[in-house]
Amino acid sequence: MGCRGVCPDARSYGDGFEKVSRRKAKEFRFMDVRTDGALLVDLLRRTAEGDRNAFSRLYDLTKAKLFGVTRRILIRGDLAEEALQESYVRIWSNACRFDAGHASAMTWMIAIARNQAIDLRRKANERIAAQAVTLEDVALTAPDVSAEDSADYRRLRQCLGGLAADGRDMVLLAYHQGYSREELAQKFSRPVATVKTILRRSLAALKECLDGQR
Amino acid sequence: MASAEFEGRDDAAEYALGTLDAAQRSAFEARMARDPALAAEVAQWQQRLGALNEETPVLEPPPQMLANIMERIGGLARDNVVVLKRRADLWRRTAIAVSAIAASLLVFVMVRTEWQAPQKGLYVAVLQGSGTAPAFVAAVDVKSKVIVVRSLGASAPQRHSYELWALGAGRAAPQPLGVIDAVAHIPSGRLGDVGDTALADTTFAVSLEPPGGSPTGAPTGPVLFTGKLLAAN
Repeated sequence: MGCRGVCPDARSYGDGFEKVSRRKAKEFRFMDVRTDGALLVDLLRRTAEGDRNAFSRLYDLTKAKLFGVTRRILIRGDLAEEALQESYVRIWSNACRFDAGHASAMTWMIAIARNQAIDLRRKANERIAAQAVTLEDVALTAPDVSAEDSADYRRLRQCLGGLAADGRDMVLLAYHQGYSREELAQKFSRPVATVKTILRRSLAALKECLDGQR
Repeated sequence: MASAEFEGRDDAAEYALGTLDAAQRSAFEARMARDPALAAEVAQWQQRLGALNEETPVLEPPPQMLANIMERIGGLARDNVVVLKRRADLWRRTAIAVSAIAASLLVFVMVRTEWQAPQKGLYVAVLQGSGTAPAFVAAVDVKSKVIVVRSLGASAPQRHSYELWALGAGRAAPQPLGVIDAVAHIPSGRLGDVGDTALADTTFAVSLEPPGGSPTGAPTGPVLFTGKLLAAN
């Protein structure tokens, strides 16, 4: 029940894309993923059956995280809203596809939001670039990984730490902010083909590191 | 040279990461729609990288957003063909069989006024995305020279159009058939001069495009739904 209380601070994050403190992001994630994971799965199941109340509840519990995702990738508020709306329409119509055995509910929904945002970013590229704010560094700030982070997160950060700096930064910029190979090539002043090689090498190393620790 | 399988896996990782450009993403999505192993590979990558979501800040969307979304999904449900879609959802384990049933039912509904007996020259396709629920049904009636496309609830997002394409049967590139919405009637002549074999070998695809369709004559947005034509008789 106490889900509405999960993220009381989120309400004050208005249009200005203020970054929440990492502590607050952690609190949200903690409640959401660990406490309410089963609730989200149940809400998704009911959404798949066409239960609008369950869907609306699901929206309330996840909207701030998903909007954070689309806004970071699309920078522009109107585009981020468009991607968010599309994401929930997709969640509504694809809820029957969600398989709790393969992904957490939050990971699945965020993947949908990221895909919507990245598709829109690719299409609206010049519009976004025209007013690109320098948000790049957000993703690259050295994280303060602590014992209260999930084991998955600590492991991923550890494996990322093992990558060459260029590769790690490219992966983070791509994941958090939707950079394409071309945009990374520009930012790192490297040929696109080199970026592709670095990305693939980094991802392969990441996979080996993560899967090797299972 | 990397094997096709290896290349596919690398693409899956980069697709999940998001570094492909629009055309590469569409092409990969079309492959993923046909290849469950590739889709599973992507899901694994989403799970691997998903821990990074813990770094994503939360941000409150505008309050009217929920109403907009509910209106959109309300539109999806008002149409009574959604009943068929719902059934298909329930039977998703046997999605292909159900799709065929849904297609024949809908084709029957669409053409019943002219329906006499099962005739030659009628082809149907059920267009699906990466999910199992059908999004569109399409029928090609060779005799009446028309392609009928009916949405099962899918509607293009604001400021976008869905565009229908023909693939396969020796076509070098996707052949544009036109913009579609809830119901579309398209002259079958746009398929070119094709015989029965070529029709049975044709796949329809729907891509997301700017309003009015692709400005280039080739798909510019993601391919969202695909379905192969089958002879109905």
